[in-house]
This record gives sequence, C-alpha cells and structure tokens, in this order.
Amino acid sequence: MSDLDPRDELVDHLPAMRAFAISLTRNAATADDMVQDTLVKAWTNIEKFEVGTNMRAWLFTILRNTYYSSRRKSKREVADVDGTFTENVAEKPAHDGHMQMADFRKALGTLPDEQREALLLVGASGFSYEEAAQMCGVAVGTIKSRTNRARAQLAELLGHTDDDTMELTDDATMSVLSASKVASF
Amino acid sequence: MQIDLTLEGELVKNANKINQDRVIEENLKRVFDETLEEGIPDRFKSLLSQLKQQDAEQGSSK
Repeated sequence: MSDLDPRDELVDHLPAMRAFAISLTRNAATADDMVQDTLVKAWTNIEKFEVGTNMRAWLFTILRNTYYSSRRKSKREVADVDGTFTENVAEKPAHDGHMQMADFRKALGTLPDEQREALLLVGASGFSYEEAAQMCGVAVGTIKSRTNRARAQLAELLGHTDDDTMELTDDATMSVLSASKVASF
Repeated sequence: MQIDLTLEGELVKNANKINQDRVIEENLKRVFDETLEEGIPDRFKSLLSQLKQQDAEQGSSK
C-alpha cells in the first residue's frame, strides 16, 4: 500500500529536539515554542527531507535556524540567564560528578551561542564535526575551534585550569603516569 | 632510573586535559538526559494529532 511516512518519525526526535533547544535558549518556555515551530515547519515541508538521510540533523538545522532568526528579530531581549530555567534546575540535587550541575549549567550559559551550540551538537548530541559543520553552515575547522574554545572556557569557569595541581583520582590519569615512568626508565 | 620531569609534566597536562574534557562531556550528557527523561509533553502530542487530522481532511478532498 503506501510507503512509510517520514512524518511518523518526527515524534521520535522530539525529546532530543527539546534537550537541544533548552540548552541553546536556556529558557524552557522559549525552547518549547521553538520546538513547536520546528515541528510545524518540518511537517509542512516534509517533502524537502531526503529519505535515508539523518532526520535528526535535518530537524536540528531547522531548530537552530528558527532560533537564530528569532534572535535577530529580538536583539533587545536579554537571554534568560537567571530566569525560570536556572531557578528550576538549581533545586535539582547535584550528582556525584566532579562539578555541581547548577554550576555547570551556569557556566554553559555564559558561552557565546555559537560556541555552546557547537559543543551541544558534538559533545552532547553525538554528531560528527562534519555533520555539525553542515548543520551550522560553517567549515569543519570552525566547529572544531568553537568546541575547543567552549571547552577551555568551561574548564576555566569551573576551576579546572591547566595549572591545577594534578589529582590522581582516575584510572586514565594513573595509567598515563605509570606509562610515562616505565617509558623513561 | 632518571625520570624526565619535563616529559612527565607534559603528560600530566595532557592527562588533565583529557580528564577535563571527559568531565565536561559527562555533564553535557547529563544536562541532555534530564530533558530526555521528561518524555514528550502533551502539547506536542496534541499538536501532532492536529497536524495529522488537518492532513487527513485535505487529503480526502484531493
């Protein structure tokens, strides 16, 4: 009978779209409005989606374009750095990680949009540098330098600078160190 | 038995950098996972069924 409708797949990408949108906009309400716009655009332009290509990348591209065009329109609006989103997450208990999540989110929020976006695409969403570059319409090298700058900035904000005294807390560090000792004998 | 301190310093730096990047990556994933675990809010479910219904109505008149 009929072929599979790619529109049936949209729902599968919704949670990831929301995660990306919330981290990009730092405002849950704005993010959901953007996801809604994206969903309607994708639905009504589904013939532009090439079946067999990465639908998530296609959706994220629409999403980020929506974000940047609305940002251009409302240049006066200040991003919600300390607003609802930050308040919401501040109450969540910290995991046992090295950084407090609230601190991490705050630091993430201070990055320029383009750097945060690159980091979210490559670091959190699992896209390759090449995919991210295509989605953002820039060179692969640009994505690499954006993610590098973002990581360096986060590390500095969260007090993990290069000058830090070494902590022998994890196996990776230990093994590199012991390897170096063996090698220098 | 002499340990090259310069080399070791470099390796420590590299190890710290790798560790740092990993911590950042883990935190990014956690930020994402929190939203992923929320599932799909009702507004999107109803939006999708609205879109589907619209199409069905237009489709039947074609």
